[in-house]
Amino acid sequence: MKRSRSTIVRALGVLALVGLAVSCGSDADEDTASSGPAAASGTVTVETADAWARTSPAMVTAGAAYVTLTASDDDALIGVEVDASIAGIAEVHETVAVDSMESDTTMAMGSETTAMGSDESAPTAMTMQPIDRLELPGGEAVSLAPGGYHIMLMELAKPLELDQTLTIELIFEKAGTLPVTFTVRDDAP
Amino acid sequence: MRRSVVALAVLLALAGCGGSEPRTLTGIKREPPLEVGSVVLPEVAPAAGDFAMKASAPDRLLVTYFGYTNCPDLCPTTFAALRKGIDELDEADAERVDIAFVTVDPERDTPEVLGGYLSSFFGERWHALRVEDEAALVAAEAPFLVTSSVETTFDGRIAVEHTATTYIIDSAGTVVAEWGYPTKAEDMTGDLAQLLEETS
Repeated sequence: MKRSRSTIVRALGVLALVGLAVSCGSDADEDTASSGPAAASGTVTVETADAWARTSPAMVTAGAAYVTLTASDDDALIGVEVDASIAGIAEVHETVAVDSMESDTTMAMGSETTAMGSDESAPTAMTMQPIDRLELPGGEAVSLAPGGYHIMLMELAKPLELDQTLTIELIFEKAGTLPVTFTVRDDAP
Repeated sequence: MRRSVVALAVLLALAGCGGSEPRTLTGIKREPPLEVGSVVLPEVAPAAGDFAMKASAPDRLLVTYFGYTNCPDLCPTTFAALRKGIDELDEADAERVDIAFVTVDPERDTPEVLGGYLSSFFGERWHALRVEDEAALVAAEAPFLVTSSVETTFDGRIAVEHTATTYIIDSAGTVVAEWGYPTKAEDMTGDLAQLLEETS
């Protein structure tokens, strides 16, 4: 179950270490700050906005967190890490229609163009799949938002409660590791 | 004959001036509609017993969703919208809406888990339906055109697929509208208000 995460971590060991070292120095604030560890990577930084996680009902062990990412230059989100006191596993997932999985036609975020039951035929079943990397074209805001990409938190240590904050480390290919504070809310900001 | 044409024209004009009345339903109305009243599933919380997929009285509506509690994205997004959509109704209207949640993942969704999950969203207006027999679940899903599956992958991951549609059912067991994902809270409020008016 932890396999895919540890694969990512191994592959990025050096980068993650560099990122961590840098992030210790940057006390940057999450929600709107532009706080990419530029020193580690040269020039690419990533700005985050609207970082939130949904409240999780008692006894439910899965949760989701969302954020909008804007990289200063082409980059990719290649992993996420969370402390075991919050969740056992964190991964980037994508919600997709089952029949689109083969063709890799993914549901565009924020778009309402996918069928998903909006026609007269039988509605499409949905599922989630882990993704290894999320491309971040330079200067373009990429949203992890309900119905699209999300940070899936599994094996929650305890329920995510309203107004609580939690830190998730986002690992970028070029910008390194960025700790981001997520605020727990009932619904999107 | 002529007089009635004039009367009709006047009526139409009045209806047009009325403005707010001809609202288009956001949800899908199928022709012919799905009939699901014959579907009966075990309710495991808060009550125990058979639950038929229909509103409990002619002036009420039942909102139904097939999902699972460990669903972190679509289900809570839908339910957060539904909670808000119902909260925005007049209190008297909100009282006339019940919610049934059918778990497609009965192994993990025990009655206790379902109870905690649903009360966190909907206070006391919910019914948790759970059947462990897979064939019975499939049979219950069929009239809704719902499909679902729960599979454990090679690395121990539990992968769930499910139809993310929300169904609004009247007391005859007729699906009067379906909300695809995503449907906004305000559209749910508008649809429910309109459907409740048609129902009473």
